[in-house]
Parts: sequence; C-alpha cells; structure tokens
Amino acid sequence: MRRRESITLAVIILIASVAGWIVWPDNPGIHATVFDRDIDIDFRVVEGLDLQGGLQVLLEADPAPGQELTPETMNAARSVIEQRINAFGTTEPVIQLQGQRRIVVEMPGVKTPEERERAVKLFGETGLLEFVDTGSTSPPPGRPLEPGKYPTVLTGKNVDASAVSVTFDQRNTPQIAFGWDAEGARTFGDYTEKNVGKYLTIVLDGVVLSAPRINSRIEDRGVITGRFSLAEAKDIVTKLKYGALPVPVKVVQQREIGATLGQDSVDRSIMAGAVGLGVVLAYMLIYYRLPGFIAGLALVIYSLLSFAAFKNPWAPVTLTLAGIAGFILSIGMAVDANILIFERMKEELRLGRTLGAAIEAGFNRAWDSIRDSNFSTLITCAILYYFGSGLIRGFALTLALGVVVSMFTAIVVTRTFLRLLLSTGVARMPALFGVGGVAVPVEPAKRAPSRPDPNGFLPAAN
Amino acid sequence: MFDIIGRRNIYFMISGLMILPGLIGLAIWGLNLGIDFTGGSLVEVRLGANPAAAQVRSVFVDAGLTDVSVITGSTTDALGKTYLIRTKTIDAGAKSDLLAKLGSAYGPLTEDRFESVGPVIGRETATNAFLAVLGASVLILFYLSYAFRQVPNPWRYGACAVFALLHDVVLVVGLWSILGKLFGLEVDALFVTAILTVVGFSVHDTIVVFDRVRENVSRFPGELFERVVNFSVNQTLDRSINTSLTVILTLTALLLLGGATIRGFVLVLLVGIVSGTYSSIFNASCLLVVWENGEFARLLGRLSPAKPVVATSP
Repeated sequence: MRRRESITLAVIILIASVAGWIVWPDNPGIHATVFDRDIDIDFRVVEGLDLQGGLQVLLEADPAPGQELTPETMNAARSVIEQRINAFGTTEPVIQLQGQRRIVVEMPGVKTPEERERAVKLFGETGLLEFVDTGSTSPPPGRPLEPGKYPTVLTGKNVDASAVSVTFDQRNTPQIAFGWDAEGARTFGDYTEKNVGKYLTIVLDGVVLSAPRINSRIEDRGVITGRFSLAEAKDIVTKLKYGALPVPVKVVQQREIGATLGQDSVDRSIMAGAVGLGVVLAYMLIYYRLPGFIAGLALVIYSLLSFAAFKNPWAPVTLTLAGIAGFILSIGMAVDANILIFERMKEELRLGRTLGAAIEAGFNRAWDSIRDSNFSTLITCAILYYFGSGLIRGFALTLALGVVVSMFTAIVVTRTFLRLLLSTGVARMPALFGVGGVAVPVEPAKRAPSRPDPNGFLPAAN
Repeated sequence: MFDIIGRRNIYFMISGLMILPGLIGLAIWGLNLGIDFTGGSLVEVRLGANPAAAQVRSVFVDAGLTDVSVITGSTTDALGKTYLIRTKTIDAGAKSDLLAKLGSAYGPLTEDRFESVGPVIGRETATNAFLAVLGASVLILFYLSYAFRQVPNPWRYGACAVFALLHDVVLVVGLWSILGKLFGLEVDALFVTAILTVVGFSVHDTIVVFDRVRENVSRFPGELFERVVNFSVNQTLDRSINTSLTVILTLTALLLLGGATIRGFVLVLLVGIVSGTYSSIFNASCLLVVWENGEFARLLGRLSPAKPVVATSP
C-alpha cells in the first residue's frame, strides 16, 4: 500500500508542478520541433469582453422578401464577416452562428466610439457594389439612388478580388483601384465602348459613391474616386475583396464595454478570491485540524489544476468576470467533497474503527453523496450552457470544469495524502482529527450499534 | 440531537414568513427588469460638468425620445459623475449624435458603456430564463428519481428536492423585487445565472441529506420513518453547515472586496445559498415526512386518523 501511494504522490506532485508552471503569468509556452513537426503551444488566459473591453454585436439575417435563408447562406455570411473583421485587425475576434438566423460578433480591444462605429458599419453592411447605367443623369454622391429606376450593368461579383486596393491621386486623396475578372472585363469593355458620354454611377449598398462620365472604352481597370477618408476607402476595399454579404443583416443587440470597468473589477476579484481561499484554509485547519491541513494542500493543488485547465491551448476557457466568480465559487464547493469525507471519517472513528478503516470507509461512503450532488451542479451547468449566451456560457464552463477537477482532487489527492499519512504513523492522536479525547485504536473495531438510541441521541463516543 | 422533524410546522411557517414579503413585493412592484429582458438602450457616461440628472434627461427628451430615465451613479472621479441613461432601443448612430450634444453641453464626456438590446431579444432572454429554471428542475427531478430508485417511493425524493429549490428561487426573486424598488437593483442575464447556480447548490445540499435517509432507511428497517429522517438530518447537520459556511465565506470575501460590477450577482448567490442550506435542512426533509405520513391529505380531511408509516427495507 505504501509503494502505490508513493507513486501516486509523485505523479500528483508532477502534475501540480506542471499546472503551476502553466498558471505562471508570463509563461513562455512550448515551442519545439519534434520529428519534423512544429509544436507551438501558448498558454494564455483568454479574457472575455467584460475584462478586456470591446464590442459585442448580435446580427440577425434580414432577408429580402422572397429570399430563402439556408444554412449555407448563413455560413457564407459568417465567413464574409470573419474575413472583413480580420482585415480590420482585431486580436482574436469571435464570430459565431447563433441559432438559425443570428451571428454573434465579439471584437475585444475595440475601444473608442469611432472604432466601434466603423466596425459595426464594416460588417453590418451588405457591401453590394453596383455599376448602374444612369444615362445622362449624374446623381450626386452620398445620396441613395432610386432603386429599380436604372439598369445595373455590373456588380462587385465581377470585380477581381486580388486587384482591389487603395491608391492616391495627385492631391493625395484616397481612391479605390480595382480590376475586372475576365467576364467583367469583356462586359465592361463592350458597355463603355457603346456608351461614351453617358454617366456610369457607382453605387455601394444603394448609396451613390460617384458618377463619372464615360470618356472612352475602358477594358480591365478602373478607379473609384470620391470623398473618402483613408479609413473609409480601406473599408470599401475590404468589402469588395471579400464580397458582399449573401443576405443583409441588421443589428439587434449591441454592447460596448469599456476596459477600465473590467480591469479594476478583475484585480479586486482576484484579491477577493485569494482572501476567500485563505479564510477557507484557515477554517478547515481549525475545524478539521490535520485532515483539514491536508485538505488545504489539496485545495491549493485544485486551484492550480483548475486554472491550468482554463489555459489549455486546445479549447481555452474565455474568462469573464462571472467566470472568475464561478471559479472562486467552485473553490468553496471543492471543499465540500473533502468535508463529506472527513465527516464520514469522524463518524467511523467515533464508532471505534481503526484509522485506516475509517479513512477507507469515509471515502467509500462519501463517494455516493459526492457523485450525486456534484452531478446536479453539472446538470445546472449544462442547462446554463444550452440556454445562455456567451457570458453565461463562460460561467457554466468554469463552474463545470471546477466541479470535475474538484472531484478528482478530493478523491485522488486527499486520499493519497491521508493514506500516506497513515503509513508514516504520524497521525495517531485523535485530537489531530478533531475527534475528542479518545485514543484512536489500531486494532479492529467493535461492531457498530444497530439501532438509533430510542431517545433519539447519537451513540456516545466510545 | 435536535428534533427538527417534530417541529416541522414551525419551520414551514418560518419559510412562509420569509417568502411572504418577497411575494407581496412581486405582486405590488413586480421586478425591476434590466434591458436584457425589456429591450432598450443603456448608456453609461461620465460628465465633467456634473449636471443634475434632470438636465441630462432633457437633452434626450429634446431630441425626441420619450421614455428616458437617468440615474446618477455612485462613483464620481476626476472625469466627473457617472450617469446611467436608459431609453428605448436606439442604434449606434443615434447614440453618437445624442452623446455629442450631451458632451457639448456638459462635457467633457467619457463614454464607459453602451448596450442596446432589441425588444425581440429581450423577450427571448426572458423566455429562455424561465425555460432554463424549468428545465433544470425537471432534469433534477428525473436524475434524483433514478439515483434513489432502490428506495421506496423514489419520485418523492426528487419532488421534495425540487420543492425546496423552488422555495429558494421564489425567495431570491421576491427579495429582488424589494431590493429593486429600494435600491434600483436590476434583474439581468447575470441574475438568471445566479439563480440557476443557486438551484444547483440547493439540490447539492438536499441530496446529501437524502443520501443519509436512503442509507438509514435500509439500516433501520423497523423504525418510524419520521425518526429515521430526523436522525439522518442530525447526522448531516455538521457537514451541511460546514459546506455552506465555506462557500459563504468565499462569497462574502468576493462581496466585500470584489469588483463593483458583480456585486449584485454575488449577493444573489449569497442569499440563495443561505436559503438553500436552510431549505435542505428544514424544508426538504420535513416535506418527505409530511408526504409519507399523508399529512396533506389529512389536512384536507380526506384520510381518516393519522397512520405514521413505518420505514420498510427495499
């Protein structure tokens, strides 16, 4: 028995050390090449929006009458939005489908109001570019073009995505250079040849960008001029590059969160967590004494393992403020399993069992309760995950992860420590276990009484 | 050892008294719903000129918005007082215009937060919240009935646990109705998360007690059910209180020292867990006994003289 426990102890120390290293804030990660394969693992905490500050927008598909909404359309819309946002340059944006008609977009770090507006315009607008034959009329730029009045010659579909860029004219005003694909070039060439002198209006999402006059046949290149700022020009280029959204979307929910609110809260919450942990450890020590001390160690290991699990590189848990609260809560709950075991142990000791038997019986008897009660918490987490939005899901994940890890630490870690303690013969004094006054027998115990006392009092310690 | 089951009527009354103010509050004032549920827009700004709330409000009203409410926040720092402005749903463009006007009148203006929820989403969130509590209750009922399948009348354990947790939910929601009226505490999506956590916890606690009952029912086959339950509750008393105490300690630390943004959330958890502990010890087990003894039916005059049921082995 001692050998097995020692091995387990070694494994536990190893895992705890690894976890401790992972949790360490400025972790360099693992970057190596093994058998010609590159391994690049980073251990970072993914901070949720409420910690970093940023923008969260919920888009809903707003199909034109008669337009059918299929999963392919939604997926296509999602990837267009994703490409546009990547071009915008945010770190780690989140773009996900939600339900059948919605897309959630989270852009952490987007802080100033101007940035936010720009971002929402960028991915919220369809981005349909049209070249419209307006005959002899030159509609003023910046105004919506009357729909249906003029025939559309070409759309952005025929624009060669690799040939779109921002250029500057002699006065350093930004303009957009673009090229046609083969089909577009042909149509454009034919059209311009036949319509010299007429106006070709360039429209983006129904609003006129500019309306130049056709002076001669133009083949494969063109320039869109207008009064754009550099940012606007860049955004238009992005929209052209990745195409128009297959279905228009509208913003149904928007949250902008300032980072300062978050950072202050985080620091304080982490400190509160540390204080909470400290208080719990002190309490366990006072009430349960030696096993309490062991539980304390197990708790610390638990915290390390849990937090390391959040940082795992394959599916890192996005940490939100609620998530931190969930983690701190799970620390309190992790103690529960230990308490269940210790109370059982105390009972067994009072009934006269040997220490070794008491430990084993404590664990076995307590396991049913631990399993059932933690399971109900997991059920709630599952429900929270299913029904909730991003913020709630983060909380559910941290809590669920915490519960699972806590079960492991209670069963494996605490038990190993206790067994080892037993084998070293250290713990003989019952006082160390919080059971009053009587020496803990090492010989086999007597039978447990078979009925509760008729007066309803617990059997006396004996 | 305490006679808990024997005094169960007292404890039922206490529970009733605890829930009552909340229920009255709910009936009169309803809940102070945040925009997560009602839809609308919320802007949080700091204004250097520290105007009165009414002045801020008039800027919005002048722009044509009718349903505007402005609350001055509790923090004032170098950038000015904090103002929480709530209107019906506006888009980002309208918001910028309004803030520009506000900034030029009472600036400098720092925008801390802007949230906008369409009315459809709001209703959905409310529905989802309700379904979530319902779903959790049903799942837990089924799970407990399965876990206790070897005991006579397994469904009762699940049902009593669910009753106990509904008591906790009603208590917290009722309390929030009162706090919403007095302190303006809002019900938002985070609140629902807290409620569901309380649900999980309450059941967690109740299960430990029931677990003991299950064990003792088979250990003492000839005993009065009432006695067995009472004994079980007493045996688990230490453990119930200790577990809840550790969680309460950590939550109190969070409440006192943690950030302001989750304070409401932590408070819900705290109240809910205290209530959950109480309901597990004093409500759930008592309900079991009441059910077993057929006291409800007797109350309604259907059964004739009380026949305390004897615990039978499985």
